[in-house]
Formats: sequence, structure tokens, C-alpha cells
Amino acid sequence: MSAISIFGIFLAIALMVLLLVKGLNIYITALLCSIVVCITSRLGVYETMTTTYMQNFVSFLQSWFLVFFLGAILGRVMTMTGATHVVAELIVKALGPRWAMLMLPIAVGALVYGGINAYVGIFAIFPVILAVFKEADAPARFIPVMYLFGSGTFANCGPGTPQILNVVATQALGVDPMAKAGLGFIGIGAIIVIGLLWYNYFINKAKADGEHFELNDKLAPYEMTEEEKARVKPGKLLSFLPLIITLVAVNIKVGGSNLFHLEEALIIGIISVFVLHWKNIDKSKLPNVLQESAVSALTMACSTCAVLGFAGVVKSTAAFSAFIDMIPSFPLPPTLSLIIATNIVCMITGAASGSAAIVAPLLGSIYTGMGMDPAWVARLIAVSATGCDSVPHNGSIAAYINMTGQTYKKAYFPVFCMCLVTPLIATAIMCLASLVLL
Amino acid sequence: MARDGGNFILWGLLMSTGLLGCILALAVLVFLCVKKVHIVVSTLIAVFVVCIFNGMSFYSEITGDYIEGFVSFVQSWFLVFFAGAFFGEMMDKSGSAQAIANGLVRAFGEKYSLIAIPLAIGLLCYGGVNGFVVVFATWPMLDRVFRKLDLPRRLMPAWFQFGAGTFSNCGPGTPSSLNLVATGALGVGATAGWQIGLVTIAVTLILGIAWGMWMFKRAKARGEHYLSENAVDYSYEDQAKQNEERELPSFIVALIPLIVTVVSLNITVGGQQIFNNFYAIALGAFVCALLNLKRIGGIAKVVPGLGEGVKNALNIVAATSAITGFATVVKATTAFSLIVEAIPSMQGSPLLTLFLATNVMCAITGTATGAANMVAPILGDIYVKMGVPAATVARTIVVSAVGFDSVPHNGGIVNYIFGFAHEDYKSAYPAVFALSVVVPCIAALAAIAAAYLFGFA
Repeated sequence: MSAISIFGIFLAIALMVLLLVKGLNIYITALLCSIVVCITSRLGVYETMTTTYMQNFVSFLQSWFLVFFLGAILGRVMTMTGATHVVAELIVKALGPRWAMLMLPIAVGALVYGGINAYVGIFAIFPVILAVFKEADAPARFIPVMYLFGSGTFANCGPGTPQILNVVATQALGVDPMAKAGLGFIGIGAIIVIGLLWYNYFINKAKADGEHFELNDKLAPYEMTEEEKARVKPGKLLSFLPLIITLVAVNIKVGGSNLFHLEEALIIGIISVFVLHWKNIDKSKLPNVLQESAVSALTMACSTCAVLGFAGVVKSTAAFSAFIDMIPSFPLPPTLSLIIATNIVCMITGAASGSAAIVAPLLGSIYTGMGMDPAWVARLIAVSATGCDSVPHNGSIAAYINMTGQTYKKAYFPVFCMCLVTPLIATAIMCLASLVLL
Repeated sequence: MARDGGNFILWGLLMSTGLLGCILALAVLVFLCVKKVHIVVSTLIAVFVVCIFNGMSFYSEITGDYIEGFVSFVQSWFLVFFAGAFFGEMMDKSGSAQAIANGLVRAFGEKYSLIAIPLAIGLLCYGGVNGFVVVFATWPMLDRVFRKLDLPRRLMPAWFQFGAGTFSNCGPGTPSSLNLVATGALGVGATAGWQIGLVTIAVTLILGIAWGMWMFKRAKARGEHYLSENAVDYSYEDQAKQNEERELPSFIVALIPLIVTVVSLNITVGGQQIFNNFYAIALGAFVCALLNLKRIGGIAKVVPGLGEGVKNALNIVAATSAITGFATVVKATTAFSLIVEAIPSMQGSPLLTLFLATNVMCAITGTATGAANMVAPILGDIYVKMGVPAATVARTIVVSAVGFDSVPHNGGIVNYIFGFAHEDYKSAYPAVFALSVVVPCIAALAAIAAAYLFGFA
């Protein structure tokens, strides 16, 4: 391992943040930053790009393209039926626009906490989210942060959730998924409170600055025209049904494993829309829906692929693993050292569950050897991992920003506050609580 | 005896439902492509048909073979296509494409300007600039010449496609995606089988220009004008003026990036490429950017050009990847393995079979690269194993692929006819078919005949 190689990795990450926030195209940024890593780590640029980079690029595409494609179709046909508008109107009417906005991330969190895959979730409820934002006249650039906060902070690190992050961290340390439930709930409670306060502040400020809800090319297809709205008016129960069917289908478990694959569950959802709302679907628009869903799924998946390729290149360097091994030997209190180790890996890979999968098995035993309780190590890794994973090259952020037609310039800063800083503060609070409770 | 055996096996195959399913799936694919359904959607539906008739699980096929084939193409070609799209972007932004087109038309003089146009377009495409980019640089000029000579607008798409989609991207050594993908699949260099390539180019040029000129003359004799009756006029004069007022690089400077790309792509030492495909094309793009840094507007403008490049590359890659995904599923059927076993026992010339197979795939998919990518690793491989030189196989596939790719559902042609010429298929497509389907097919057949006659097969 050389100092230059480590320097190169951090330089590349700094460059990544800078260029993305400055508005440079995500593919170019990922390519440039990967090349920086290759050069400083003395990896052949061409070989690394064509093998490591492209392998990581396409492996995400391979696993997720069809889910994105089917998800986009589901979202579009649900919009056409008017069902999502009915649902959104009901929510806004029941809660008022302001509370409806605040309840959105909580609702997303509840779904994800319960085990719904975050990508499936966003496709299924995207039209509803959009309609609520419109009713509340909140700027659409807050949709990515709302969804990411709801799905990628408190919901996947909480005690007992079947989300990968929690499972990986607890399994690697041989503890129960409910490990350190009390402290875990304090941690996620802190995330929810701080995050929502910030969220509320951002939206109020934007509104005070004269921002409004605005449609763009990517969002417009999920909007109904006035004449469509007048034409289709499905009943309340009928409107909720396809949503519920899809979410249940994703989540039915038989003997501990899911009954349906994600793709199958989405197809069931799409079929349920057709069966329940056959009358309300404008069939002449279906070819277009297919067409546009394919294109949007492709661009959305590929923007995530681009950053995952970069993360793959970094992970493949010798310096990366050597550096991780070195962290526990820093003269720091074990708790702090563990948080730092987890977050550095998060920052490099841009993925919470990915970094827990590296840190927990690799370093977990070292920290338990220092006298930490394995359950506490697992919970600490899970909760703190939801912090620095929200760097700009996080795959989900890339996907949501692309999906909503936003730019990093407009959409990233609230993500930084609510999804990176907030979980770190919450981790600190959780650590203080552990001292008091001990 | 061998012939009877082959026919017997073929007959048996035709009776099998598995093969029927594959053929039906191809028919469905054609139908959907003609209906302009997105290629990802149409290939998925076609895979569904294959699965039903072959008793395969649709779910495991799309999440297995289909998506694996899909991403394997992305993995191998994304970076190269990306470099190519960036190269095109730079050639366009720097005015180099414009300068080359202008220079060549001027050199031919007003009298021969009509002939100079497809040659200029062809030169750009031979140098690796994608037709989708070339059309923006050359259409205003094409329009101006047609107006001046009062030739019917309906012939413009044919004249453009003749330059952009026949002789120019099948030649030896060109960085066109078609050439790179087909030669790459067979593991030979970009100039492989150059004799066949050159014969094809020569025949295409002579026949195409002669036929084109005859079309123009006949249209004149019939009293046709630039605009047919009741047609709406779309002026390209503003764009042409803008292009003129633009400060363009000199012809030579504009030509340098093309030469750099083609040469660096084809330098080999001991049979090894010095620059691989990606570096060669990227080098051309950077040379173009450096030579024209001021005209492009500084480094700050080069980078957004990269961004546009990626978007274009993604679209092109996706289309071919989807076809590759479909092909992978077909390859997995038992019917297919029976065909593969039957082929060597069939009579007939390998090169002619390649020509036919490639053109069938072209007609189905409307993309030359996609067709070549289906034929080369399957049928191509079989013939190479039977002893036909890989270079000959590769070039035969490439020169065949520029024929029936110009079907009505070819993405470029749709664009040229509706988007640029503002004509309809009825008036504009027959000429396209003559110049970009019939002419290259005759040329490819002539080259195959020459290959057998002169023994360079």
C-alpha cells in the first residue's frame, strides 16, 4: 500500500463530490474519478476500465434493469387510471398539505422498515408522491431527499428490519436482528426528529423564497391532464387496491423467503391495475408507455451503474483493503474508531449495506476483542452506516435524481443535511445514551 | 448423400414446435419493429414467444439468458461507443464535419456538387463519425444543392443514406461500430478481408452514383420540382447561413482527427493492435478538441460534449444489447442447437449463406451492427471452424450487413425521411431501397463472386 494510492482514492472522492455538485454529467465524472484512482494506484487504465469498472457497471444493470422497467410501467399505468390521484387527494384531504408532506417520508419509512425493496417502493408510490407534492405546492427538487431519507436512513438500520443493512451487520457478528433494540430505537428516533425538522425547514424556506412545484420532462408523464382527470374517477377502494396488492406481493413470505421475485410481484401489480381499472385505461397510450418506460429505466439504471463502477474500481485497489485493516490501530476510543471506519468505507463505496458487508465481518471481531459488546458493535455499524453513504456517488441518489429530472446542484444539499449529517448526529446521541444507560 | 441428409434434418426441424417458435418470434420481432415499438419491449415479447414454444420458463430466461446477453454487449462495447459518440460530438462542435463537407463539395465544383455530397458524407462516416451526427452537419448543404438544381426533395433521404449507410461503414479499417463489432467478434483486425471490402466499395459507388444520377434525370424529365404540389416548405437556409458564418477549421485541419483515428486504429506491430479501439477513437476525439480548442469554446465546452456523447452512446448500445439478449435466448433453445448441427451438412457456399443470414437478421432488426453481432459469433464461428478464413468471414458479414439494414424501421431512415426531408415513406422510401438495399446487396454479391474467382476467399 502506498500513501499516493490512498491519497488518490480520497482525491477521486473529493473530485466526485465537486464535479457532480458543479453539474457535470454523472458518467463523465465517474469515468474521470475512476481514472484518477487507476493512475494513483498504478492499475492499467484500460484493463481496469474494461474489466473491473464495466463488470461492476453491468452487474447492477443485470440485477435491476427489469425491475426498473416493470416498475416504471406500473407507475405509469397507475397514473393513467387516476387511482394515484385519488389516493393522493385522500391523503392530503385527511392530513392537510403540510402534514401530508411530513407524513410522506414516514410512510416510505414504514414500507421499507417492513421489508419493501426501496426501488420497488419508489416506482409503486411515485405518482402518489408527485401528486402530494403538487397538492402541497412543494418544489419537486425535494422528492429525491424525501425518498432517500424515508428509505435509506432510519428504515434500514432499525432493530428487526429485514433490510440488508441490518441483516448483514447483525449476522456477521452472530447476534439477533433485534440486537440493542432500545439504543437502536433511540438512534432512529433521533434521525426521524432531526431529519423531519430539517425537511420542514428546507421546504418552508424554499416556499418563502418563491419556489413552487414545477413539472419537467421526467415528471410530466406521471401527471394527468385536466381532461383526463375529468374523464376518469375511480372509487376509493379500487384506487388503493393495486398499490396494496403490489406491496403485499413483494412482501409475502413463505417459510422465511419471499414467495415472489421482485419482477413477478411487479407483474402481478401491473396485471391488477389492468384487471381492476380496465375501463379507465386509455389503451391508445400503452405503446408510448412501454416505450418511455424502457428508456427511463435504462437511463436511470445506468446512472447508478456509472457510480457503482467507480466504487468497484476503488474497492479493487490494494490500498483500500490495507487502509481498512489499519483503522482499528488508530489511537482512538473503540466506539469512535468503529464509527469512523464504517463511515470511511461508506464514503468510499457510497453504499451503506455494502460497507457494512465489508466492515462487520472484517473488523467486527477486532472491536469485540477490544471488549465491545457484539450486539452494540452490530447496531453501531448499522446506524452509523446510514450517514456517510449518502455521498453524491451513492447509487440510489443517482437513480432518484435521474428519475425526477433534477440535478445534483439543485437536489443534493438537503440530502447532505438530512441523510448524511443527521444520521451522524443521531449516532452521537445514541452513543451518549449508551453511556447514560450503562 | 450429404445433401439428402441435410434436407432430411431440416425437414425434421421445420416440424418441431421449438423451431416454429423461434421463427414466429422473429416474425413478431419484425412486426413490432415496423410498428416502432421500443426495441427492448419488442425483444422481450419475442423472448416470450420463444419461451412458450420451447417450454422454457419466461422468468428464468429474461432474468438469465436475456439479461446476460444484454449486459455482455454493454460490458464489451459501452466504452468504445462512448468514445465514438464523443468523437462525433467534437467533429460536429468544432465545425470539422462541416469543413470537410464544404471542402469536398467545393473541390468538385458546382457541376459535380451532387456527386460530391454522398462522397463527403461517406468520408465522414468512414472516418468514424456516426450518421446521426453527420446528418446535422451536412443536411443544410444537401438541401441547398437540391434547391439550386430543383431536384425533388423526396430523393434526399436516399442520397444521404447512400453516403452514410452503405459503402462508408463496411470498408476495411473504418472505426464504424459495424466493422469493429464484427471483426472483434471473430478475433481479426479491423482491416481483415480488405479485398472483399474494396470490391464492395467500388461496385457500390459506381452503381449507386449511376443509379442516383439516372433517378435525378428521370425526375427532371417528369417535370418534378424541389417541392411536390401542396407540400410545405421547410427552409434550412438559416442553418446554412449560420454554418457559413461560423469560423470553420481548414479542410486539412478538419481531416486530421479522421486520419489519426483510422491510422491509430490500424497500426499493428506483430499482429497486435498498438492502440485498442477505445484509445484510437478517443485519441481522434482529443486531437480534434485540441486542434479546435478555441472554436469549440475552450475546455469548459469540451466536457459537456462528453455528456452528450454518453447519452447517444447509451441509446445506440441499448438497441444492439437488446437484440443480443434475444439472440442469447434463441441460442439456448434445443431447436437452435439442432440447426447448428445441421448447417455443416447443408450444401451451398459458406459466403453466400453468410450473406443471406446477415441480411435476414438485418431485415428483422433494422440495425447492421446488431445483425452482424448475431451472425458473427454463431454462424461465423461455425464456418471458421470448418476452415473458412476468419478474415473472409468477418468482411463478408460486414459488407452484407449494409444491405437490408435500410429497412423502413431503421432508426436513421425514419429520422431522415420525417425529421429532415419532411416527406412520407411512399414518396421517399423506394429510392432509399434502391440505393441502400439493392445496390449494396449487388455489390456484396459481386465481391463474394470476385472472392471465389480470384481466390482471396
